[in-house]
Amino acid sequence: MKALPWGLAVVAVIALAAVPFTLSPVLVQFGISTLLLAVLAQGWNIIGGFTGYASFGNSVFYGLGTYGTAVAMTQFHQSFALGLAVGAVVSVAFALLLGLPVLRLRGHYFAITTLALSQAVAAIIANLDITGRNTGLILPLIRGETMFYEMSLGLVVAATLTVWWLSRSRFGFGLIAIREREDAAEVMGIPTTRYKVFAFGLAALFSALAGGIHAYWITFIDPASAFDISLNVRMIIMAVFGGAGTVIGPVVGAFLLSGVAEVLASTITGIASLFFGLVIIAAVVFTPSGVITAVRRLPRRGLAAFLDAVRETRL
Amino acid sequence: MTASGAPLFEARTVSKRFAGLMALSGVSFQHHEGEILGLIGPNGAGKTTLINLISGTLEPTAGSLYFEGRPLHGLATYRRARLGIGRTFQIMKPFPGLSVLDNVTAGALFGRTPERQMVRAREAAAHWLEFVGLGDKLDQPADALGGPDRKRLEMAKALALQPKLLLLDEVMAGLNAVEIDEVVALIRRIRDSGTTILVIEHVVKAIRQLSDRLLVLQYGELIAEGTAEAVLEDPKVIEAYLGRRRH
Repeated sequence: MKALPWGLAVVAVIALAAVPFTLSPVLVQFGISTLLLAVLAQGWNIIGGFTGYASFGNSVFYGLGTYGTAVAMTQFHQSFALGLAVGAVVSVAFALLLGLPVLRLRGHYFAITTLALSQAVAAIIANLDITGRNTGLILPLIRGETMFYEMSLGLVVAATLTVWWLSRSRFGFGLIAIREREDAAEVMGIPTTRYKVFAFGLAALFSALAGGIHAYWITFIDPASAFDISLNVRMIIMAVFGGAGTVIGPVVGAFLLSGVAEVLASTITGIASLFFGLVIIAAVVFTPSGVITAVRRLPRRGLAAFLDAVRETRL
Repeated sequence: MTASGAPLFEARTVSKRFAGLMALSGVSFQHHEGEILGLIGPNGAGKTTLINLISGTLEPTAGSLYFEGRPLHGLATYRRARLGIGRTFQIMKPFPGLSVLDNVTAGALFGRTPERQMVRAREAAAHWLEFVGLGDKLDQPADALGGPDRKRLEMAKALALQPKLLLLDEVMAGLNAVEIDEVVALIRRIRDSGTTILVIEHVVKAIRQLSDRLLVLQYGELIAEGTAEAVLEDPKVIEAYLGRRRH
């Protein structure tokens, strides 16, 4: 990357970091949930965008991170930091163990299996005493919106730097080759199984940390909210909307779509989700490879590129 | 680098069964270093199956394969690539969304003598693309290439692995006479740079020019082996394979 995008990125991070000290508490709350969604979208980007495996299991990673943190803090009275680590370890271990068999499947079969996996794990959690069964767990209350905000921002930065490294490293190149054509990648000397499982684990790490932060922030968790499949759908929509397989696209997608959803919810309340759907359809039709890709192409080829993109979609 | 002595590759009574079909039965041969070995046979004779067994996409039902004296059994495909077994696909398999250069870069990054730095790997990839004659198309998307160029891209991808043994699966199919001559010259240059080559081909003129030795498969069995001249005059081969073409 050149100096300009780096400069912009640094300015953006500093501006975002200043938000809790200048703007309203409501905006900080919106900021925390948006930043955590950006982390989740970036996590999905690693396995879905780079490796080409459309995972519906990322909400499991998130849920395990949530519960790992909550169980450590409430049942074993450990610190939040240790709780976060426990959540991350459980989640990554789950991803590595389950990734081995599940990542043998491709396309729809992979998607369906990961979806089923998330339901199964939710059912198990809902029947364990240590996780509070169906009623869930209540975490110790702490006032510290600024801390949660800055932690979430830090996690977005870490996830994005990781994806940036992927975009220019040998390992990331291997993942892209797997996405493009797995059997050909294997013949080119790429250890496809090991790479896929590692990517799955990396996605799990970030999703779990986001889950842990969210649990402590919200202070109440139950199986329904921790293993919410619609959260997984949102990750995918945000990553694809912004640009799956790009470095910054998922973050941009999370911010834009969270913003749109918020504005719609406060202005036209009742049918907000309908309009939200229309926005997404329009985005997929007009910018099939993501908003960020379309924006990047505009200055280079101008209006012609935009019209080409429209034509490509045969509108 | 000795032409005689231990073979670079050896197949010992290799068989492959797909459900009720014996795709290969009891195939044995040796492939010496520096040799261009031609493999011909009618459609369905088991040629591509043999390449799949060597590269590791399939495991034999019976028999063993040896590369540099070591058994290949149970070795993952990517490990065989790193040992120095490179292949092309008859049905070409470029990475569609990547540029021509990045298609080949994969091989340079993960091959037998990998360049772990992206910049160096891209340089190596550019070198191999130059070598096969695609030096002016580095930035094109791979799926925008025409048929003959795709064949060259397949070869460049395999070459970037720096293979000791290169398996070429019908790289001349669909090419015109001029293009075939170019590919024949290219394969000779690859061999001269020290690579041992197994060529599957239907173009008899080309395989006669290229091969030091020729193997003929029919219904999964090796029915002839020897110099191109001897094999192509073998009544068994003419009857099985070439007879239909001569009249």
